[in-house]
Amino acid sequence: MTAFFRRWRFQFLDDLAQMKKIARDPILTSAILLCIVSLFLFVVFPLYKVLQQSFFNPDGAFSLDAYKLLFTSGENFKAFSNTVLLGSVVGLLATFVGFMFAYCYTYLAIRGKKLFNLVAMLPMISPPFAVALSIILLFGSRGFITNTLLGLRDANIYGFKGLILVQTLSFFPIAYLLLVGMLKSIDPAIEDAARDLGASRWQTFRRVTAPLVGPGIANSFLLVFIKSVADFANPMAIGGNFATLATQIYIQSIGNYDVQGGAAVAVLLLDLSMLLFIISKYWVEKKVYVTVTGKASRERMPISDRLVVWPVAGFCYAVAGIVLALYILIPIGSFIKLWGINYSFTLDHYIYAFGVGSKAIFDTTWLSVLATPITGLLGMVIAFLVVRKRFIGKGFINFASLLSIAVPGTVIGVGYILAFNTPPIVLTGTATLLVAAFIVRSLPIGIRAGVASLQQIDPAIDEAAADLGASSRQIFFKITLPLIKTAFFSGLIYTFIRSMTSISAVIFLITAKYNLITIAVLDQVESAKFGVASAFSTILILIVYLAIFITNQVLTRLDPNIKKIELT
Amino acid sequence: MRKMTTIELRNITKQFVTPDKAGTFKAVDDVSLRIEAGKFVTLLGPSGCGKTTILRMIAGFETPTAGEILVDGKRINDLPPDKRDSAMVFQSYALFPHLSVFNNVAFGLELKQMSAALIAEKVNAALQMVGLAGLENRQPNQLSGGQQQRVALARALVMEPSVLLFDEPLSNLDAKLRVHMRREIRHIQRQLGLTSVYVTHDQSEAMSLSDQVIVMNHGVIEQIGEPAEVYQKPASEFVADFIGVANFLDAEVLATEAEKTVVRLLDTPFAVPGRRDDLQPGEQVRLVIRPETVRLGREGAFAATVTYSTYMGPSQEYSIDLGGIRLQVEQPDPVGKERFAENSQVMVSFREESLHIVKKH
Repeated sequence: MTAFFRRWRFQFLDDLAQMKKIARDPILTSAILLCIVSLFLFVVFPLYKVLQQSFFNPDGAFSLDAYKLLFTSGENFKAFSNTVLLGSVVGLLATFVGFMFAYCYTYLAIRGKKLFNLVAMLPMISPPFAVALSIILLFGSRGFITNTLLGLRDANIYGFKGLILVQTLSFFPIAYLLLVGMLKSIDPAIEDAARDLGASRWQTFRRVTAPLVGPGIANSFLLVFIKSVADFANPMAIGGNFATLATQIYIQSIGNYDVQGGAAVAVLLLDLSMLLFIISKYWVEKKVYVTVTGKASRERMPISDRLVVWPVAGFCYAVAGIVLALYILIPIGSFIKLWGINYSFTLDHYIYAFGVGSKAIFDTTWLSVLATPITGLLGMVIAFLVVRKRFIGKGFINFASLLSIAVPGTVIGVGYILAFNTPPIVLTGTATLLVAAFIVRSLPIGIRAGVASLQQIDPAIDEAAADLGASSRQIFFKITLPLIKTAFFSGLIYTFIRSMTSISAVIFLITAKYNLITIAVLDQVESAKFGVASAFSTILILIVYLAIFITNQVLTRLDPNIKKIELT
Repeated sequence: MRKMTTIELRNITKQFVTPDKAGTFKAVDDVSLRIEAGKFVTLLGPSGCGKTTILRMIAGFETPTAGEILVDGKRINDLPPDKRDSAMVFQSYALFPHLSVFNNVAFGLELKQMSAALIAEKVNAALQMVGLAGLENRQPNQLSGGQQQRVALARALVMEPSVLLFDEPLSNLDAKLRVHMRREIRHIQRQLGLTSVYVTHDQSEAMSLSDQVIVMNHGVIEQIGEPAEVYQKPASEFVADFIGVANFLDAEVLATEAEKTVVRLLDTPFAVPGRRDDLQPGEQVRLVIRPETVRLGREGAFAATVTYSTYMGPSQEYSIDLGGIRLQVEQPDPVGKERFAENSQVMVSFREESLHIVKKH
């Protein structure tokens, strides 16, 4: 204990000595302060508010009523068990599909591997309802397959089964991207050694490859679980009566005007996400044998044995085909007069979308444009500070930015209502709050990309610059930023897309003054106007593509040799 | 333009948290030293001895836990690296990968907001000096290891620093180039008269470059001295062993006199030249005997058996058994001299002036 205290004291004094040096650099000092203050204000404070609200009744007295309600109300308990069940099933299915894709990509001698990356990219740049919308168009009560082709009446895709299908198709790319990196970094020599020692291909897979990626599979399950649990859009669109915690928070706080009850549900969801995130971060990731950045000593000989290739590749092509078809259905649906009844061509939905929704389109775009550079720069600054500097409060910055990865959007949404509705800081209904929500939602990914690319750069390069007289600000702009510009620009694009397509947090924050496309889509889906919903979605996809195109053009102008941004 | 700068370390201690975060350890433990203006000083020692930590504290990348660093008498502990007038050549070169050779060297000057014409003049002169004229527009990844090293050196030199710091700059080069580069570094340093601190674990680098060698171990200084002094009169068994090859023989002090110290070695008295006030008669000590000072022949004081013999070109190397003690022996320039076969008998003698006494611990 005393040893612990001594070490802590030493660390503190050492940090203090370091702070003296930093204090001489006013720009560095203010950058650190700015990061700490903004993370506190927009991440920690709202979450604290959620926690606090759930412990106090409307009169301000301490009360556990909200929790009592949570465990006595059948509705909330049902939502909790639904959420866990859904997360588990989708986690398993998406990991399985993702693993098949990753194995196919890294191990098999087949054509068209680029297709896999395209399919993996689509959910990332699409509106949150895209898959759900298509599934309804195909399998709904007026669905093309169920009704038009099979002639079924009263086909019901809404509920648990629809959600499983939609979430699996939406989230398997997460598993794929994680596992493909992992499989790629396995040195083929290890597997060759197993074969050399007499293992068959199947034995090699079972006894060498699978144990090596075991932690990756566990991690992929957890990440998909987190994503599924946090998902708001799909349960809203296709969940029907199958309530989840995320939708329950919304219904409770906005539908029933019971923010306290909503906050109690939000705390439950927050705990669940944090638990999974901590298991993933501190337990599973510790067990990883292969580093994702590792480079194999030589190329792997692809497997061309038909007994392996045909079933695995066949499965993957089929899934990829379905995913592509679902996405193509959206623009098609936007030109169809009345889906399931009248399949004639029309532009009515666009006329309607641009008429009623022009403000939503405009607001979404300019608010996203506003959030993009701030997030990009802030992400890189935080990455720089975290990787390269030592200061008191670094632990906080690390913690707060990790926290915002794990926090579901709906929880952030409730937190913002609670935190910014009343003095001292009133931001409800302002563009500032929407932009802040956009930033907080995309910042962690930007930081992670920045940290990853900074860690590959020798710190001696920064030291050399400091040694030659560069201040921290000069190092950041003249050395760091140019060296990690690919990560920076990917961060920009990612933020823009994520802001354009976000819904879970901002649905709590919109007012008559600002409307967003995603929310317009949700309104249309809820009132079964699928044509208009498709039109909005198509417009959204086009804006996103335009942004990627423009960024790549700008990048090419800046530096012809730079790697183009592909969102994989 | 000569800048005469002295560096002084007063009771410097640097503590780190151990990698397993279980405790702390002292990388540098209460070190005091003074580096005179214009001198080339080498910090020499095995890895983990604290030499790089000292260099990084002088540069400003680490802050001492205790003690003071003074440059020309002024305390600089809290000065960040960019405010210090020292320039460092890094082990990994640390060239900016996105900048050309010219822009790498110009980097520091641009921060000083010098005029473009002056920068060009200085950069070209620096590149000329390190023999890289004509490669201004190359990118770092288009250069060989030796060329990258020269860019790193030019980038430091062009700043006209008052102190030049080297962090094992030659360890990534092949053996021939290393020897060549250390001559060049020494030449340029003499020409400019720059106070220089050089960190290395390679004793031949330290010997050939320095005015003064500081031998370190476990965070403390074992010895400070000129290269010849450190080699011939090592202050401890560690220094004798770390620098070159040494035999250690147990001996007993018989008498300490004004001009010599008499010791008993293998039941024979030897008079080792030099006054040693730190020794007492009757004290058990260790004698340091360098392999090249041992004489082998038909005649001599002690009989021994050759257990190993090999021809190395410049010398013949032996391992001999002297009454159960194993000795390393090196006979320089073996051509024309008698060579002794393995298992043959040989007579051994020691020159008194080549013996050196270190304390036993």
